[in-house]
Amino acid sequence: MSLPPSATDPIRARLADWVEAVARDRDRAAFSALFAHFAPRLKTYLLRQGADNALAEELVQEAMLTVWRRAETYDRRQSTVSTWLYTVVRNKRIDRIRRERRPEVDLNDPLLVPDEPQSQEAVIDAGQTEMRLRTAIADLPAEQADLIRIAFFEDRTHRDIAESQNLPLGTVKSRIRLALARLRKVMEQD
Amino acid sequence: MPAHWAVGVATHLALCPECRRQARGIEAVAGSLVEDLPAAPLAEGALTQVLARLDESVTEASPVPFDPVLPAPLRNELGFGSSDIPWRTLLPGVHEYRLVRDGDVRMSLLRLMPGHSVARHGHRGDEMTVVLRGGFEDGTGIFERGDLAVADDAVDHRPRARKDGPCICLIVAERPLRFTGLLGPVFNFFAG
Repeated sequence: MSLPPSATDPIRARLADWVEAVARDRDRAAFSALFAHFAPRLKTYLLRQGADNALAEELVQEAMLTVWRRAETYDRRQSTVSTWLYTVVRNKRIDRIRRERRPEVDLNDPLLVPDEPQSQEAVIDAGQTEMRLRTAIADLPAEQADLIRIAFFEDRTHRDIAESQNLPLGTVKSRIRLALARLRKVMEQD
Repeated sequence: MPAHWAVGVATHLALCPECRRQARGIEAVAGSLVEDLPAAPLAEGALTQVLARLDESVTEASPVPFDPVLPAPLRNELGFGSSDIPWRTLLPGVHEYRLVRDGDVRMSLLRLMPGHSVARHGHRGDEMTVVLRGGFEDGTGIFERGDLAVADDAVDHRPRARKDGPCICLIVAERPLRFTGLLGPVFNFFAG
């Protein structure tokens, strides 16, 4: 199910409501709904990253268990549920590769160099940003959008991508950089 | 991107709010792309299995306590704090502790005593350096705590610690460089 832009807000809000219901009420129905929505997409992500079917199933389960256990760490002002889950499943995958603890930035680490205090106006509405982002990705030139998808979802070097796309390495790098710069601008505008 | 680079990236992110902000932006891009992925059917009973595991008790590894030099990603990787690093001497004033030697991947902590330098060297692959304490200069620039330096085949340098104190760095090197995978774009973004 792909979400049309017009429908994104209420659906995104409901996804965030479900996570909060899991955190607050240990709500199994909400958890099941999150599972139904995300687990099949996360599996696709893992398969594209090169996991085989069994590993993808296992990591999806682990990621969803993390949702259950760490739901209280989700903050809807900081990110959409998709982005949060993406980071969870990405970390599970890196964990698995390294067979060790994933080096995660701990925001409670006293050593962390803190963020600049944000002004009230600068506080990002993650849902709004994501809407803009989706539009911006859709508006990217196809040559850039394709490379962004390949770079994110296939575990391949820039050199591999260059060979398979029959492009010079420098072109691949500069297209990815251009696309990210453009998306960043979209995210930073107010 | 090879998994070990993630330690270097996470260490740098802990010390650099600007890059953390950029990384969050790129994660938002990825999250948005994940939302648009087609669904892959799960094995029958997958949800039931997960529901049955919700009440499992979990024993989490206890994190290494606060350390003034090592941010959380790195001290959890090490399993101890900066005062317990078993340094070995490479040269007078140059000490190393090797965390990982795995094929072509090398991850080390390097300590240069004040004013000491590493012999001039080039790089056969690429190398990521995150400054954890003090600072060094190598002719291409001055690097201080939290800074990330990336050297490749083209870099031939002689890093020298500042005179006012020892310099401790995390170094991750892999040959050939593979800035791919999910943190790859993030890292290339910073490197660019």
